[in-house]
Parts: sequence; C-alpha cells; structure tokens
Amino acid sequence: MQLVSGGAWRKYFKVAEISFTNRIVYLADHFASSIFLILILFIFSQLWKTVLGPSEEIAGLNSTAMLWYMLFTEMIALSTPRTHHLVSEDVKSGDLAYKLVRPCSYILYYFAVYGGEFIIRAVTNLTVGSAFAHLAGGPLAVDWSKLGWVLLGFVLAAAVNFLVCFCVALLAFWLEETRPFFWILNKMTFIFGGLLVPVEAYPEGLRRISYLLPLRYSFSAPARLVVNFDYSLLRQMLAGQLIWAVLLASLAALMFRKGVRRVHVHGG
Amino acid sequence: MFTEAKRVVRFVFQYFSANLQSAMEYRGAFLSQVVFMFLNNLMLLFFWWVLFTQIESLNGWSFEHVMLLYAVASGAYACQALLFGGSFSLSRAVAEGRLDFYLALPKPVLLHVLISRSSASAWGDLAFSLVIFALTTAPSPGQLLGFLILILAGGVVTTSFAVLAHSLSFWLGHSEQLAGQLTEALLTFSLYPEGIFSATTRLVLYTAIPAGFVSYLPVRILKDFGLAHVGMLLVFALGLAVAARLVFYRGLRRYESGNLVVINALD
Repeated sequence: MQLVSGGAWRKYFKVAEISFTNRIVYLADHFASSIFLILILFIFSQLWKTVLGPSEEIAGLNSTAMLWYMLFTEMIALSTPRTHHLVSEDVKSGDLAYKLVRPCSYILYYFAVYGGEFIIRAVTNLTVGSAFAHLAGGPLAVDWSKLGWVLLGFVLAAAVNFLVCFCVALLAFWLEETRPFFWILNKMTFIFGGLLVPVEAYPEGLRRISYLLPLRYSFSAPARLVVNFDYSLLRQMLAGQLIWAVLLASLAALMFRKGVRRVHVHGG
Repeated sequence: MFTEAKRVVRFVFQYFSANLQSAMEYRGAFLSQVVFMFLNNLMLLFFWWVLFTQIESLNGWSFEHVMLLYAVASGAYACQALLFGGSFSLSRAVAEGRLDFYLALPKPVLLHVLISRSSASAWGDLAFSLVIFALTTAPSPGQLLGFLILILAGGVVTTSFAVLAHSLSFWLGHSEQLAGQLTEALLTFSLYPEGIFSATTRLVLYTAIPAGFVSYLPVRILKDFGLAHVGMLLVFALGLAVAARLVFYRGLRRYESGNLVVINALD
C-alpha cells in the first residue's frame, strides 16, 4: 500500500469530488430511492404511536424522538454507498490489476469514492426524511449551537462504517464471494448498531456488547446525540469512534497487504 | 384439459429441478447462502424480542403472533423466489427486449419467464419459515400441510403483484426501480403486525398493496381457523393471478423485440 503524504491528499479530494459530481447527475434517482426511507418511517411512526402513545418513553425517547432517531440511523444506513462490493468485483474480474498500478492507495481511493457519494445520498435522504418526520411526528427541537459536534460525530460515523464494510469486503481476497458476510453484517447493524431502537433499550448483557463493538458508534450514538444531546454521550462517542477508526484502518491495511499477495492475474 | 395441466406441472417441475441442480453444482456456496439467509432472517426477529421485553402486547399481537407472521411472510417469499424467481427481473427482460427467447418457444410465455429463474438463498427462507412455524405451534402433519398451502397462496399473491408491477415496463419503458420499490413495499408491510396500522392503512394493505393476504390473513387462519378466511385468501390469490396474467398479455402486445443476440443465462 502506498503511503500518503503532504499534497498527495489533494488527489483523494479530487476523487471524492468526481464521485460527488457523478452522483449529482442522478439526483432525481436519489430522491426516488428515498421512497423506501419514507415507507420505513411511515411504518415506524405508526408503530411508535401505538406502542408509546402521547406520553410514554423507551430508553428516554418518546414517539416523536424515536421517529427522528430512526431517521438519522436510517439516513446513515441508506446513504452508505455499495463501494465495498466493488472490491469483490475487482478481485473476480481482474480489474484489481489496473487499480494497483495507479499512483494512489487502493483503500484511500475507495474511501474518497465513498465519501463523495455518501454526501449526496445523505443530503437527499435527510431532506426527504426530515420533511416526512416533521409531518408525521412533529418537529425536532434542535440546539443549533451543538451542530458542529453533531456533524463531527456523523463524519466519524461514516468513516467507521466505511472501514467496517471495507474490512469485510477485503475478505474477497481469500473467499471471492462476500455477499453472505454482508447479509450478516447488515443484520448485526440492526442489532448492535441500534438501527431501529436505541441500544440503551436492550437488556444489560446485549447493551454491554453493543458498547464494545464499532456499529453503535456508526449508527445509534450519533443519531441519539441529535435527538437528545448530552456531553457525556458526546465524549463517549468520539472516544469510541476514534479508537475504532484507528483499529479498523490498521486492520484494513494489514488485510490488504496480506491479501494482495494472494492475487493471481492472468492476462488483461 | 387434464393432460394439458399435467404437462404444465411437469414443465414447472423440470425447470425447478434444473434450477436446483444448477445451484447445487457449487455445493459450498449453496449451503453457505442457505445458512446465512436463515441466520439473516433470525436476526430480524431480534427487534421484536426487544420490543416485547418492554410491552405485553401490541393491539392484540403477541411475540408468538409476530413469529408466525415472519414464518408465513418468509415462506411466501421463498415460494415466489424458488418457483417463480423470474418475477424479480421481469421488467428488465421487457425493457431490454429479452422476451424473444420465450416468445419463440411453444410454452406459455409468462409461466416460462417466471419459472426460468430460482434463488438458491430462498431455501434458507423456506427452512427459516418451517423451523419458526414448528417452534411456534408444534404442528401435526395436517397443520403442516395447511401451512404449506397458506404460504403457497401467499407466494402466488407476491408473484402476481410482482408481475403487475413489472408489467408497467410495457407502458413506461425502464421502470425497474419503481417495480422494485412496489414489491419491496409489499414485503416490508408483510413483516409488520396489522395491529399497528390505522383503518385506512389496513384498507390499502388488503387492496392496493396486498400484504394482508400475504401474512395477516394467514396468521389469523393459523391462530383461529375459519373456512371463510381460507376461501377469501384462495379466491384473492386466484383473482390476482388472473389479473396479473391479463395485464401481462395485454402489455405483451406492446412489446418490441430488442433484436439482441444474447445468451439466456443467469445474470
């Protein structure tokens, strides 16, 4: 893996910018695909109204806060580009050979592609989703002075989410087909990421496990921070995100170094 | 007529058998897909388990009802994916002019397109469905047979709905995304208890997006057997299948060949 230094970052910003521009062309498509988000929010607005009524709470959140919580977790989940599937495609098709000879890091290249696409998807999902949540559940009281912390939390959440997915994607060097692992990761996100309900609502044992895994820091923690800002949660979340970002980046680099040695490219 | 029906059944069985053999060719990949799909579905129940640790019931729905709902919905989906897997990519075949292959053969076009594909991972859905049903009810052979009829009826409803949604391509051109969202909506609504929805939403779920006939009504039949409900389900499934067939063949008149030279293999 090539190391990145100084002005080299500029080329990754350029890759992210190209990825962003490519997705802008399909803006209408992104808005159309937000229909699934509305469908899920509609179902859960009905569910939480039935379960919680006007005054009850789960894990400190009432029915309106639950709906907004879910909007933010789903926004991250649905805005995650399927960039990691390209690794499997690269290995299977042999395209990897062309990517390796480029003067850039394979992992950072995909991270830049992911970042550019994530932004456009997140903006469309947030626009459509918040309009629906406002109509279905009522407004969310936002403390705008904390916006910077919240944005930082979401950026780190997206980065940790990329690294988790990419580490699983790198298994393609050994196994080629990684889809079944993504099914499981997807469902683990449901559980330990607290996609539908905050992990604080879980029984003690499961809550502890989710605190130890990276998924909570990609989904549940930043979403909860928006609907119920709290400095102790912020500190805990940022610490978890930074630790997992370092650990997973090291793991991805190690897996890539080991895995790329196993690749045999025939012809071209 | 009986001989013709026998011929159609044999035709369906031969395709089903060929698709299964093709999936089993790579036995490791097949088994891993089945096992992972089973686990995947199992994890979906987690949310409900957590929720029912906080509440007693959900407008009359208990955790056991929800388990039955998942058994029925995943069973119906498995029937569609195993027997009529072509229904998932019908609009693409229409828009890209890939129906030529089926039009040139002396077999019913719609049936042929539907049975030409089968999803290996759907065996995991079927296994999940049967295991959850067995755990929830400890069924007698008769009840098991009744369950299989219910999920087959649900599979006919989901397949017919998919054919209707994908047939829009005859009029709209490339409408894969729209068809995908409509079928996704049907599956999604099938996985949430009827009890959470308002009367208006329920009306939609028993008509325009017939999730009620895929999972709610079968669950009601399993919990409180009534011949009227069984009759209603079977009549609806048959009626929707006839409607889907009518719309498909009406649309087929507008079909234009893509003049493509393609290999008719799995994408």
